[in-house]
Amino acid sequence: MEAFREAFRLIVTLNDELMHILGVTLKMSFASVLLSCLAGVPMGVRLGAGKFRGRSLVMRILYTLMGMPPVVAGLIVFLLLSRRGPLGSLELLFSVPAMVIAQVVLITPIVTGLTASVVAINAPALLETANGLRLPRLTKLRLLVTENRTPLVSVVLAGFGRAIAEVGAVNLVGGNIQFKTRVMTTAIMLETSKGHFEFAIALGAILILIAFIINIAASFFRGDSHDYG
Amino acid sequence: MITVDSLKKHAGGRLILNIPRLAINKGERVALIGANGSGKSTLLKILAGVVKPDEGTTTFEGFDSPPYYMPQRSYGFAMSVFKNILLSLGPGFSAAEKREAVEAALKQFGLEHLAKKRGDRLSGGETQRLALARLFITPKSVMLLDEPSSAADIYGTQLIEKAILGYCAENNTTLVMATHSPRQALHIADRLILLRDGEIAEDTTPEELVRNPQSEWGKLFMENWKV
Repeated sequence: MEAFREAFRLIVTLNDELMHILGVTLKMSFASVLLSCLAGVPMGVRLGAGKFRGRSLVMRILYTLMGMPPVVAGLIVFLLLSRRGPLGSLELLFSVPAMVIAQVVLITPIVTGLTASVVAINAPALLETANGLRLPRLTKLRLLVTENRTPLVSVVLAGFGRAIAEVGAVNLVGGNIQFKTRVMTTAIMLETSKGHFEFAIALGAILILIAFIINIAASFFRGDSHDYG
Repeated sequence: MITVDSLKKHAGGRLILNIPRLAINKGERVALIGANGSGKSTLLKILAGVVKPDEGTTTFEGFDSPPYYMPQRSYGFAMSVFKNILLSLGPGFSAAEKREAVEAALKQFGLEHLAKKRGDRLSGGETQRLALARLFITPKSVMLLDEPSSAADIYGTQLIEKAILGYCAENNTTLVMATHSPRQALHIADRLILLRDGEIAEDTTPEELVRNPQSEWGKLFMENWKV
């Protein structure tokens, strides 16, 4: 009970370290989801709506990557960014950008695969009508996205959920450095192992609150329950 | 003229369409009739270019615009009915012209009261009227319609048939339409093509097919049609 009381105090007093961890977590999560969606949604639409040779092979590879263990993604990015790696000269290891790169490697296949699955459901009927109307290519692409906006919001949420809850990859490439690359999940792991439950509880409570706010925002953006007045 | 040459299409290892030669003249109104699975929709889809044939060619000569096509299950986009119709209006129109054209299309198909309703929330018959309103908003040379009133009620069917006839007469549009309704085929078409197992069993005028079907299948089909 004392731990919960202390956790509440940390939150309401806007504890410095807590706020820094929160800031890094949100910055990293939003950046990685944004980049993953910019790459993954168009690829997913193309895969879901397109008929081309090798599509099923691409889908199989994608589904394999969707289940990639985070530590493997972290290891790949670590090797790329380490001093002797091909991108070592960028000196990004143990920084927030490195964590974002690892997250993008992890989340892009998820966003792409889920988008492809969503789009594939109504693409044949939608495109048959759109092609019959001789709509321009860009209009058809826009329709494939807007007609699936409700499930696509869920796809983005799934990506965000993965980003904010991920530990393994960000721990490897970020190094969990205090006031630099420490995020909520790595901090919870560390503080729990040290027996500082109040800090871990405070972080856990904020994590759940963020998930709740994101869900409310998502239902607002879906805008799927009304006609047009 | 629309010309079909040596057309073949397979599905599931079976030959579902086999048309050695078919020519449709400019301005003709053709109804494709036949039992389910006889190849009506496949032929329309190939003509529309949404399905590729395994063999053969289709050519369109002497038309001002490419063929436009309404599938059997048209898609109402998740935007207002007004915007659904607006979507099919190409560039080159002022805002006032667009509004006027959409309002005229809404009125023609009895959709005024649904203008603000979402296109994906319409009934089957309403969606078909919306699909036709989208197509008929500008003049087109060739129109391919797959059972355009299959989900419509009596009022909707009359409205659709009147619109098709008026539109074709006004724009000298070549029409190829699949239908299961004998009354509709005889009312709209000036040529009937009876398909059986992907092949043309009869190709004649409505009067001839009603009075004097040439093939056994034609006779049987007309008996069942009870014309």
